[in-house]
Amino acid sequence: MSYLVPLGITSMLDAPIRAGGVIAGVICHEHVGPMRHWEVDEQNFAASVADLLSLALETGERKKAEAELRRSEEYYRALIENGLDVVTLIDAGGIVRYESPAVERVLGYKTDELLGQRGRVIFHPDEMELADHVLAQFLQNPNKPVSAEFRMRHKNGSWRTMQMTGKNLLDNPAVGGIVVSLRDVTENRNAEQLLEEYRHNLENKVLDRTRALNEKNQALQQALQQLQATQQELILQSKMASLGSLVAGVAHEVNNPIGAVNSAADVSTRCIDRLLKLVESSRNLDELKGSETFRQLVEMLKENHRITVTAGNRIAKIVRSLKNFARLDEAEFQKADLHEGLDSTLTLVHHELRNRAVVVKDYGNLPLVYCSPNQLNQVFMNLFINASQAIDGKGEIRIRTRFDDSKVCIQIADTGKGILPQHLPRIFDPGFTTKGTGIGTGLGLSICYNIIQKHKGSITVESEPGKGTEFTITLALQPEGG
Amino acid sequence: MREERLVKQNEALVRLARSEKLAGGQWMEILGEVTEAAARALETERTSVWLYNAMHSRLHCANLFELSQQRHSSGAELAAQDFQRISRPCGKSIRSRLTTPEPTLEPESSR
Repeated sequence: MSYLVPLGITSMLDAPIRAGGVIAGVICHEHVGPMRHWEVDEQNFAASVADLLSLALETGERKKAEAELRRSEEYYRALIENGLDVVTLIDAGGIVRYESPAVERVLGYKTDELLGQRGRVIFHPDEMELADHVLAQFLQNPNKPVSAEFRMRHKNGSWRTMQMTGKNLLDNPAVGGIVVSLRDVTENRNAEQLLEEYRHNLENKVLDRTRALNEKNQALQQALQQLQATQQELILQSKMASLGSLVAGVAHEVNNPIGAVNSAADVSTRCIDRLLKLVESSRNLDELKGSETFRQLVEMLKENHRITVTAGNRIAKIVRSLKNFARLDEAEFQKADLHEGLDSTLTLVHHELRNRAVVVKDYGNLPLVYCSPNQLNQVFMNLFINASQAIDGKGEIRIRTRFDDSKVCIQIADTGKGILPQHLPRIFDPGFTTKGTGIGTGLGLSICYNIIQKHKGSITVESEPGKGTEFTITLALQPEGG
Repeated sequence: MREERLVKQNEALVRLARSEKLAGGQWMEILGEVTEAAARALETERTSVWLYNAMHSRLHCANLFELSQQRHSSGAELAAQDFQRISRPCGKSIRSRLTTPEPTLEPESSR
């Protein structure tokens, strides 16, 4: 009432405006003033006006829908005609009824060139069966999408790989055909094939590389074996060389006392001859005892006897040293007195050192060390010979031993020419030598290093050119850590 | 008296029916002519055309002609549930009344 009262409306006449069977609006006639009765002709007039509006509204709607349809049609047509894919319409017999303009760009045919022909005329001969099968699929499955891939002949004679998707819309009166969209995927397939080839090539390359690597590994393995064999040979040579040197030394050492014994025996023989003659020519024992000659001969014999004993002792000592050095009749690892080993070795290399080096011993108190004395003696011998060879003219070899912090330390220092700083890092390398060809094998220190390593000890070197070199060997009492 | 009314009504109808715009569906453009012609023919103070929105939930006043003011306006809105004057769907024209006491009538703009 609040709508009517303020406006003073007293009578109303409304008529519906219809469009498409539904009420779209209303036209209202509102009277202000005294109540009004609407005559029939007035009601008819109101209805007629409403009908006019309804008519106009429906016309407008229709026109709008038509315009919409036209626009939508144009839109889809534009999509089809400007699309990258070929859109084809075929009938139930596989006859082409429409080709979108893309067919010219994709397959080289004019849009009307294939019309009325069977689509399969441009199919690859190998794929005729597939074409028949796909058409059957379309016909059996209306409104269901069907996809396939075909090779199709381009106008220029080349074959293109086409991806096809379509739908049977024969029942749809607006279409009345099978709509097929064709996309040229030749480049994609080529790219895929190329990629596959690349992948394959890569695999082959990896295989080749692996094979080459294996071959190289094998060659390396062989080279290593050869090297090891050569090294073994060199070690043997080195051993033979030191053995030779040792034998020469021992022969020399033994020769001196033997010479002394021989000459003493010679003198003794002559003494005995003269003594016998003196006994015969003497009239009695007193005369013999009083003879100056007799006294001299007896003294000479005594002296010769002393010489023989000394020489015998000397030879015995050398033999003992030799035995001690080699320790061939003993277990490899045992508790041993290192001083004994040092002394024995010194005895054996005596002829090498003599006339060159004065040996100064500075021995501390050493406990017995669990070691391979045979091997350690080899180390000592190497170091002594090196030290001696480093000395030009006269020099000194100092041997210092200490037991400290549960470790045994042996230092062998010489006053030789020293080692150049650039050579220091390599002196334990196998085959490294500065002695010149024919003199050293370059294995001596390498063997020393290996032996000390085997004892879980360490061997280090300090050297100053022109002043001398000092090797330090450190060993634990129990190399196995037990 | 009745003859005069009929002549007036017929003249208005003929004039409207001849309108090309009406025939061409461009009726929105001549709504003002329709409301004014109808108001003059029926001699009613207010003649208006209301249109439903798509949901049929509201009505929009597309044109209102007020005879005494000789004035056109549009833009008023009304909830459909408040506008139940169309009670007989088959009726060609209905004499009806507002059944809802409080219709939502927004102030009319003079657009």
